[in-house]
Amino acid sequence: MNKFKHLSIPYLIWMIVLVLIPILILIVMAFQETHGIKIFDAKFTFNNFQVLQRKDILQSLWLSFLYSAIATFCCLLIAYPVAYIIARAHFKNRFLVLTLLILPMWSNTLLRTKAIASLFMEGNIITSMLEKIGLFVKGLNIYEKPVAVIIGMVAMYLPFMILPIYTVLEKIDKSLYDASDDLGADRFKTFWKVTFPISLKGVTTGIILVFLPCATGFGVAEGLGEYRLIGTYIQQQFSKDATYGVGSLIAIVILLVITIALFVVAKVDKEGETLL
Amino acid sequence: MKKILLCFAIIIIGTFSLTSCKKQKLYLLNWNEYLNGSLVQKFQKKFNCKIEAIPSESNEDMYTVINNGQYPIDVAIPSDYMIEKLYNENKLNKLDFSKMPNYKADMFDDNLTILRNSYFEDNESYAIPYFWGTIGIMYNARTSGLEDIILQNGWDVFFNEDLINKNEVKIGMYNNPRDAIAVAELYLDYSLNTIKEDELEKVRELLVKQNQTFDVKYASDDLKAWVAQGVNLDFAMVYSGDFFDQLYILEEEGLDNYINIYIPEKTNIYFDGMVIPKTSKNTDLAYEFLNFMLDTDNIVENVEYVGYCPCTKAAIAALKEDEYYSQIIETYDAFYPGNAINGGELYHDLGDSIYVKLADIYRSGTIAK
Repeated sequence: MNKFKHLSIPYLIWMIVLVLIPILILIVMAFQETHGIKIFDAKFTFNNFQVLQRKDILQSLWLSFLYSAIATFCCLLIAYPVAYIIARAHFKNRFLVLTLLILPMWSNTLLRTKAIASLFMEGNIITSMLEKIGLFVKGLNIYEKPVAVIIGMVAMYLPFMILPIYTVLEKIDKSLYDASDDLGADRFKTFWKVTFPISLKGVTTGIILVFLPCATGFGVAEGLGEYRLIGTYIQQQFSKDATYGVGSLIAIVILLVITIALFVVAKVDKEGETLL
Repeated sequence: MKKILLCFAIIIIGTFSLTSCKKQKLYLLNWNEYLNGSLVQKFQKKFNCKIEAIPSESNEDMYTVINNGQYPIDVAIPSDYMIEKLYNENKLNKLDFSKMPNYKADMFDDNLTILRNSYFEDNESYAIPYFWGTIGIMYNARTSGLEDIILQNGWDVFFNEDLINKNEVKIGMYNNPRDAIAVAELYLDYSLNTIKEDELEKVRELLVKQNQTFDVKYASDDLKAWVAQGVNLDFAMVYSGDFFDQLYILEEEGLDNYINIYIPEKTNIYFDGMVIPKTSKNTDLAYEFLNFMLDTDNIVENVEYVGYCPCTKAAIAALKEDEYYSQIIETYDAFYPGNAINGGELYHDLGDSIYVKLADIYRSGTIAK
């Protein structure tokens, strides 16, 4: 194993330059009150921490986690059966089906968000087409409503849930099913006692892959008219307000919360079944 | 294996040959869709250079780019108050007019000159006006009764429940702190540059109440299209140029007469100006660009794409000669911002701490439901 140690050097450099150093800068910035980056006249301050006492910010944090949790749960509900069916199916073009599932990811996220947003409005491309043939129908009008944001998040991140679950399910040794069958378990029991426990690592990976971008992103929510999430607030600090210190602080708080959560998962899951 | 190597070689040689041509580069920090592509081509050909356009969505974004030095920006086109801020922070080069033969001090529209004279001292030496405009209420005239109410009540329609049926009418607001707050300030009859604590708190209350009472959508470029479509928005606060943008689109489809814009007497009037920030490395080329953009033919060509009102007397006169634009100027008072000179107020630079406050007020408005 040691022979290949030096192969990890590029990755190490990559991580130091693009992950470690930026996080250190974030931490330093969290204790400064400047507009933009002004390294030379920076002053140490705790003022930014006041933001953590603000009700609207706490509400934003709470809402972000709530939205992401619901979206992740919906993703799981949809993705597991799909992954299961594809993994167990006997058809030849399995690869084609998987490609079709990933296909939406090939187009631009912003564009997809805009398209979804437009469909959720009272007047959209479908209603105007129907109008041309004389049918006056009103659109859904759920733009800006929580359900729109959840649907948007699910649509955007579903493939991230399907793929890891599928990968795990597909790799399950078929002889395990035979063994379970021989020992007298019915199909339901086989699934509950054999398939599901093994697939848990895929599920955990999927949950992490979906939950993180939902909780910290702003593009999807903002595109669908929801300005209250924490991602929007952080983004505003870095573009419109240029109060980088406050933005950095919130970013670090989220980073901490997520790290602690992952740490707990890793502790509970001692066998290292998830891909942590 | 040989084939793969050949492919690699072609890709590598291809990329190198593309990057290695040593053309001069002009870094232009500009708004989206704010410069006619044909002018870019013309300029690149004439000066054998490449215009590297950095698109921006807000004045604050422009400030961040200039301040952080991400690019050696040669020319930027921010609005008035951002020019003032950059000037105050000593980030702009004083312009050398001898390098711009097309420039003449008295070439700009008289009303614009009055406006610039009232602005911060010596602003004429740091920025050359690019386009100017006002903010107004763009509305869909097909919504019955709406036109009369807007014409009679102006900015009140954004906040007054007695005028507008809150269950049916949908309102659009600009998703930018300064502009959203301006609408509230115009309604409350405050200065657009107020920094008084109590007045700003009133603004906050008003924006929160507005979003709680009415169906309000915060957006930017989408506003004009939604109003034109008529189902998603009935009226919105827009820049005058946005309205004309949309008008031209509808005219191409042969449907032009159901959207309109009303500029109330009290409004925000603004100009965007070309500046040369101190980040510029290719300053001579920057001057060539400024000079190029002062040529009347080029200005007119730019108006045809952008749709805003030009700043020079000669260009406005040329538009009045034009069959199409003379009609636009006659039909729509909003095209020429000089019409709003009496009640129009410019934004001023208010200082960083006020901007944080404005952003906070704006946020209170957007998250209230």
